[in-house]
Amino acid sequence: MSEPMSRPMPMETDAFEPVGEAHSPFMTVFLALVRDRFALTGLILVGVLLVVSIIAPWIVPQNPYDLAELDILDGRLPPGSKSFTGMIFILGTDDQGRDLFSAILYGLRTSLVVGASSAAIALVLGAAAGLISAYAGGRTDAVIMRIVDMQLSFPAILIALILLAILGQGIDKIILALVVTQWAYYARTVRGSALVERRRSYVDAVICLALPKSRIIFSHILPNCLPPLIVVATMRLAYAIMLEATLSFLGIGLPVTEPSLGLLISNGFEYLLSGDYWISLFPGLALLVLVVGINLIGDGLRDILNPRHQG
Amino acid sequence: MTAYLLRRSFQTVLTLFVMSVLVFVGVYMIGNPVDVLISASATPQERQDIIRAFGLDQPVWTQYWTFLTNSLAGDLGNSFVFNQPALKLILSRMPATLELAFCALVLAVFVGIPLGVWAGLKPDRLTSRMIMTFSILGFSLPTFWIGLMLVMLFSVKLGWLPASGRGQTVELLGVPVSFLTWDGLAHLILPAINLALYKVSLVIRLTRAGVIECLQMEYIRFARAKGLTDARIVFVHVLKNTLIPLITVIGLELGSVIAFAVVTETVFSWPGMGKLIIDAIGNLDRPLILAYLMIIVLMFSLINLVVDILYSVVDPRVRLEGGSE
Amino acid sequence: MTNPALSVIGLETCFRIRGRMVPAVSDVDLFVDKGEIIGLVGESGSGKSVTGLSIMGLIDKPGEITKGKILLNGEDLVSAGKERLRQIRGARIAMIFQDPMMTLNPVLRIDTQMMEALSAHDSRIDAETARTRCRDALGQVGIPSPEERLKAYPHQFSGGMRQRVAIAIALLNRPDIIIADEPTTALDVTIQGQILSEMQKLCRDTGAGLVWITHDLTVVAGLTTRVYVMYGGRIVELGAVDDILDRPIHPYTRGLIRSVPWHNRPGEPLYQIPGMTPAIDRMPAGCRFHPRCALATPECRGDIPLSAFGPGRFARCVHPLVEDS
Repeated sequence: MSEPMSRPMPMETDAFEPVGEAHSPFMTVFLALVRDRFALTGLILVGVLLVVSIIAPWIVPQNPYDLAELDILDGRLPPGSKSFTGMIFILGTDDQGRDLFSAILYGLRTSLVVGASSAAIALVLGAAAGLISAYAGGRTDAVIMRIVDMQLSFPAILIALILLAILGQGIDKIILALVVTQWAYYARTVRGSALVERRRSYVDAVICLALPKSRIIFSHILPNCLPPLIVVATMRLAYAIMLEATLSFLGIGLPVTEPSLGLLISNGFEYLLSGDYWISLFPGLALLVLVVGINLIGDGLRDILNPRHQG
Repeated sequence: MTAYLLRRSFQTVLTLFVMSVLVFVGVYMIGNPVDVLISASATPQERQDIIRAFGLDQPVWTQYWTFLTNSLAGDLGNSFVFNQPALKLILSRMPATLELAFCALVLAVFVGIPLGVWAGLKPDRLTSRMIMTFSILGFSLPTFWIGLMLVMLFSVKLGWLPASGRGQTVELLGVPVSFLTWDGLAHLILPAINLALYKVSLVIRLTRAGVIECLQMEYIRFARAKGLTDARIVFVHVLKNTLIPLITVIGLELGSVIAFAVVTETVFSWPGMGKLIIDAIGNLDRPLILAYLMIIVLMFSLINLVVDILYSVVDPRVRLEGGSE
Repeated sequence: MTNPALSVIGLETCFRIRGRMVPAVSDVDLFVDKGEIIGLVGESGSGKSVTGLSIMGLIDKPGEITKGKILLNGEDLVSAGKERLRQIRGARIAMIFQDPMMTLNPVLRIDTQMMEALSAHDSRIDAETARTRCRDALGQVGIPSPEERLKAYPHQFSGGMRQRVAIAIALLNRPDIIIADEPTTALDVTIQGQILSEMQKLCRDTGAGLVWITHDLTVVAGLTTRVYVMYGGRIVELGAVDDILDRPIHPYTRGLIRSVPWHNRPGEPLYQIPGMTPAIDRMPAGCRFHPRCALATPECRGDIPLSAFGPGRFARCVHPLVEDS
């Protein structure tokens, strides 16, 4: 980052650098991430949240979405209160007597599932579109990129709003909406780096070997597009999670029967003005920590994978 | 330049047409408004009357044709719920949204650019690191949640600023605005900050990256070799190069801010278009949804067009190539 | 001999690499008389550009001048303050850089970029005078219709024309010394020839001393009077240009001359110096060239001073190639 204005002469240190242990590229990136203080923080935050949300059903004191386990008389208790049955609500309860700690963990599960699956689907679709666009060129390229440009000129939240207005609520519908809002970013990224890679001479060399097209694309061009794709994917994942929460908060995302951080915050909104801050505060903090963690990893990845910083 | 303008205008019209078809088909094919509009106790006769009154018995393409010719005449249909022209409803809410969006954008520019320039010029200073930490936070904070927290802190706990509404407005050129009265301004501050926060982070990052990239350019070294003062290098050479690409981004962000106003308006009960559309979605008020979408698409296309033109005016390289890519 | 316009005495410039201060150039002594053109020759990584930037006072953060003096008309620049250095840069010493496509700021007009070089050193200059001087300077470097070209942007010029503009900017304040860091390397050979002969004429006319940094011996042959050969951050040989080219003393200089293809007869394999330029943090002890030198012996690892081989003729070698003479 802090490259000097007057660079020292080009240093050909690489030729003399001891090669070191041979790591897989994956491992190399991971080790570099661990060495970066911020990225490590991100890894730990995301790691912890991932683990607790996976094991949530076994560690939470109640199933917050089983109405039989809720008691309306426990409603809106501040953090640290005791229920009639003697259970302690460490983060308090919402208006229906739901233990917020349990509800947050369940909400995190939903956030992660919705975010990760939409990011994964969008990545595959977008990468495919980008590769086709870059490789086919000409009219196909123009049409795909026209669609991408058109879509990217509208903010994600607006497209999601339109889709959900049409489709209605539901976990499958919100995943669909998130995929539609995200794929274009991946398509553009992959096309950009695929075009650069195509112009490199090694691709000509491979083409001269008369390998099948699919082989050239998948084993030669695609791997070289991965670094920017991974960076975009992390950033988009964070955005998708945030967007899901936002849409659910607005009441057009997940239905009230699904555990969701956005809905919890929305519920707490009504009681905020009377001073019952915890219902909105804690789910928001959980969401914040998750998104900050992913963004920190993304920032670290970008510094590590950006060829300009590799010198 | 004229050819370029014509081409871009044609693209805008095409986009509008495609979007109108997509939106129309989506809204009219998938939802079933008959069930929503008509109470279960209505007699079959009443049902038929309502269906005929709204033209729901016609084939889809006839409905679209009616919709298209009407919208070209400025008639985007009547709201099912308010029983008023949808266009009029939306236009009456638009000034509130635009005021909020502009304030947020101005805030983002005037806070984000100086901070970004500083962080780019002195990347190793403690202050720069703090700015960057803030920007990561700003990127990660969900807008709606930070809005709630602002309400909690400044309205509930401290009682400094009002939590909802637009406050007292005055007419400026026939348009009601809040920022000219103390009460209106007090109502505007929290929503504007809330909406600006994400954009501030964005502007900081883009500015910083641009400044850092620019500083490594040979022409900066040449400028120093000419014996220019640091101030001249930063304010003329670095800033001009950094701000030109930023104009595009910030211009396009205006659209995004208008879209995101949906969230802020919901949190602060700001009586804008965003609040209207959320309610309309809840009520399946199709003409209103459709009209909102058409107007938003139109606004976006216009913003994109204006930004493109602006960019070609500011950047000498684009200007002379006549806008060709 | 009168006092030289520029003399560098015992210059050492270090860069911080992995926490260690590593010298990029050390023990550099050189001088330039008024109106004289000297060559500073070496491969990339030899320290010639760092030497040039050190003279300009343009060495930045991880780098620093750690020893020596740079005397411009008797005034030491190493100990001069920041503001004094700025006043001298562009006024008394000017620099021209390698890549003409990168040295001019793409978003500023030529007149802006020229006139700021004048006003940076004379705040009272009026726009009319400044403009006239800029126009004359453009004419001087052979740019047709300078009046119109002043209003142009850099991208409207060819590479050769841009380099002429850069030269015109360097000449604007009639500097005593011009440092040219490979300014013709990126240009076509025909343009290179034109610029070389123009530079020669301009230096004769204005009395400016010129330091021509290059890796290209063919350029040095026709242009300069004396040549300094650098390798591994040190001057390894210096002398009159004909002496150096005809009777090199240092084995490295001989290798460099032999590497120029026109020294070969057709069919003969091209000569190359074995091995690679060492990185600055991995410099061998003693003579930096000895790992690549056919004549190397254990003595080459000791300290080797520059020793005289005739008037104005020095080399840093324990196995000088003097048997030819």
